[in-house]
Amino acid sequence: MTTDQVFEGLKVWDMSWVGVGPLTARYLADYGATVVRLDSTIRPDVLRLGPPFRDGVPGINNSQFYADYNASKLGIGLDLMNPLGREVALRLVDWCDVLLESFTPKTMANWGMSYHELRERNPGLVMLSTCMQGQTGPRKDYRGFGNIMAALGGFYEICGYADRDPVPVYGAYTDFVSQRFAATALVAALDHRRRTGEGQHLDLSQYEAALQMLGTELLDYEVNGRVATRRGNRSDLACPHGVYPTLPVRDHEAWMAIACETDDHWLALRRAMGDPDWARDPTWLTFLGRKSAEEELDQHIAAWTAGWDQNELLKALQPDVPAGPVHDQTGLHEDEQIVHRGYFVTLEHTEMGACPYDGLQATLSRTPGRLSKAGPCVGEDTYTILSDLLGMDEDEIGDLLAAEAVEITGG
Amino acid sequence: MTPAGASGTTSVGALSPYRVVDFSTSRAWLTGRMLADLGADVLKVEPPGGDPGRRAPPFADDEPNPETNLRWWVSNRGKRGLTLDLDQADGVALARRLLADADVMIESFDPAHLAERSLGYDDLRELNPRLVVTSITPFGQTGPHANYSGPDLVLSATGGPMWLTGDVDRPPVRVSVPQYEMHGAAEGAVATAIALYHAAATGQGQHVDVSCQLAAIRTIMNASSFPYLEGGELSRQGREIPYGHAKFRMLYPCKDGHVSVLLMGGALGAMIVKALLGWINEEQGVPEWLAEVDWLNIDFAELNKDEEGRAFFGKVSTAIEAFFVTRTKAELYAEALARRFLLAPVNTVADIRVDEQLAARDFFVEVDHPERDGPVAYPGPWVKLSATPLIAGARAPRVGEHNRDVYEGEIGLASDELLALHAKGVV
Repeated sequence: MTTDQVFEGLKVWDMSWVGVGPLTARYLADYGATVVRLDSTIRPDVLRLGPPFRDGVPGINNSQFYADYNASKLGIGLDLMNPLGREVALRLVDWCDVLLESFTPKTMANWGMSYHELRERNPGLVMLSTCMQGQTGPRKDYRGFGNIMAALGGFYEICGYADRDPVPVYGAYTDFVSQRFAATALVAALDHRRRTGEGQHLDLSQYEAALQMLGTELLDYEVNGRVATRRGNRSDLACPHGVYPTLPVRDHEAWMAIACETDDHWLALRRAMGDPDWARDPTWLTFLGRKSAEEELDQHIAAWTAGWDQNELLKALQPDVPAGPVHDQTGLHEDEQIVHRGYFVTLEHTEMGACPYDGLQATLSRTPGRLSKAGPCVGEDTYTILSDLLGMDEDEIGDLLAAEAVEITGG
Repeated sequence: MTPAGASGTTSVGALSPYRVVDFSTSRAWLTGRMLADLGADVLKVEPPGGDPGRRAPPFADDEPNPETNLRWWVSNRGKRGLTLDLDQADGVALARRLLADADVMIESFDPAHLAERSLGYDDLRELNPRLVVTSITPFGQTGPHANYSGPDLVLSATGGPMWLTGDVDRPPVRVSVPQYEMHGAAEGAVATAIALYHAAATGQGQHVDVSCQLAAIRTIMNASSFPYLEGGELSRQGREIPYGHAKFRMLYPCKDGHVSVLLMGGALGAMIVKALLGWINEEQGVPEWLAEVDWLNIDFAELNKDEEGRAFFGKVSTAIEAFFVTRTKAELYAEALARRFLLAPVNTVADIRVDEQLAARDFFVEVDHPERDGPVAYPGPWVKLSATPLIAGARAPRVGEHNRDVYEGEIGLASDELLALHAKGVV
């Protein structure tokens, strides 16, 4: 299985934490790189304190959130406040091809680990620094999380109903934009290095990456002066366009999303509904006609969908009518397409046992990539890393343990 | 080396040696642009008359015109533009000439569309074994829903984000502008870069099959397997977000809009709450009960689980809201930066356009539009690479703008051959 991995032999030192950095490094790990992830019980990743926990019991080694974002990686327990701990971090810089970090910009410099210093030790180093707003500029040192960044980045303003306050998009939304841009740039930089030998430093601002998802709206403002705002599920391009109730699923409310982007979609919806009299109004044959009576149309459709089983309704609508169930989390796991793709992967975690994890969103026909293991417990692989990857002997490792520079725990 | 984009920018990008032939429909325009930003020579291929995606609003000056489609502009910058009719045999033959020497092909047609035209992956592998073919579709190339139609609303629904978003007393909502096809497109860029890295090292291309639905799932952070670990579903909570069984209020009204604040206690949040309350105290005082709270020893996640805790949390947030409504977004953000508490304005695109941080990093870049009175400021670089900076690409191509350059200059068609193809409507 591991003989045809794209990044086999690539060495990655992942000093990042929380979302963007670890998720970016996970791409490299899932495609075969050896990724060493920084960890510490003294300064644990906030993801270790976040749900979901196995059986709902909080615990530093009981967070599936952390174990997912750090799947396919090895973990080293290291205290960077300890000078000997920083020595180990520098040994890993010498060892690695790629370094990721997501501290505020001054942190690495304070440890003598700025890119310019590290390049002296390892000239071919490819280093990704990712923080909220970039390595330069007046707000470079301001901390935050992706859910705060989603406000700054304009995503909350355009989420919710027009007659109400905005609502937050679930999750640290900008993280899941940034990881894709960061990974693309990082792999491109590795390709450049493979051809030229030249390393470099990548400065990724999560704010700037996230704004790529509002490119059209930023241009619409620039050129037309239009300020995008929230409008429920309405669209300028499609009508009807919304979610409609169905019979309950697992005893709770359930919805079907329907988006008629063309007049043909509308005609197909009419057919699926049995072409009732109310739907034959000729003004509704055009988008503008339907848009002018959108509320009325929505009420009719909702009255029709309300008696349907969600699965049967989906099969009655697709593929001629763009439609899909509004999945809760169990719905994701039971969706026949998602099951077919093998997206969720069950892995054995040292303390949590078997749990499902998010898998790969792309299938590569020749080098498919895979989640090789669940994320590590704190310090689970410290000994292996020091001994096998850095070639330290028992005395050296013993000295580091005695100085409390490293932790060997878990497992 | 072939310059990226028509502007003839001379910097070397990380992907400058590579040629990408981009047949994408609008859902995957972004993939090729990311590769063009990184220096690849991206040839955007459209049907004669232009990509159907050019017809959807918004348009510059609100004048419907395929040459002023704003999504086209922002997503196809830095590419060169060709036309080619894949419904004619001569068009397929021409596509094969383009692909014979290319490194990457991007496409986002419904599955089987290209195979029906003898341009499926099996055909292309024979033509060019090192070619990476990236297909980006709503649900992927195989499976029971592979042929289902999946626009943004459906992806938000079937990928999980929608269930978690919206007011409790109304149906759940998507983000009001399309997002999830672009997540698939950006995921397509990652996977293409990985496959290209492999192809360049080994000479072996492959087929990359991206599902936008799966890309949408990744955006729901830690929610996707929640019922399997803890039991129960996470559901939408209006202005609050569920965080496991607890929930946090994310949004507060202020004088001229809204701000987002994450109020937490414990080691992570105590300093932040104290900094905010310190400011409120200086400005207008805080009640004694609020001043006496021991933030360090409060676990907000635990607190939010029971009635008493939620009542307390409600009292705190009401007190804070009463202060926020006397201040503007800009005033609140300025103080948050100075005192280092965690707050951000709920920005509009208008706020973003004049943001000083983005200005300091030259985020907005002026792109020449010779057909207009002046240049247009675009959202710009998304990463700064020290050795191979992103290429500042020229404006998106007009329909067939580079046909002659590429078909005659690079593929080697004679002028009369190109004229004959034009007469037949192939280009």
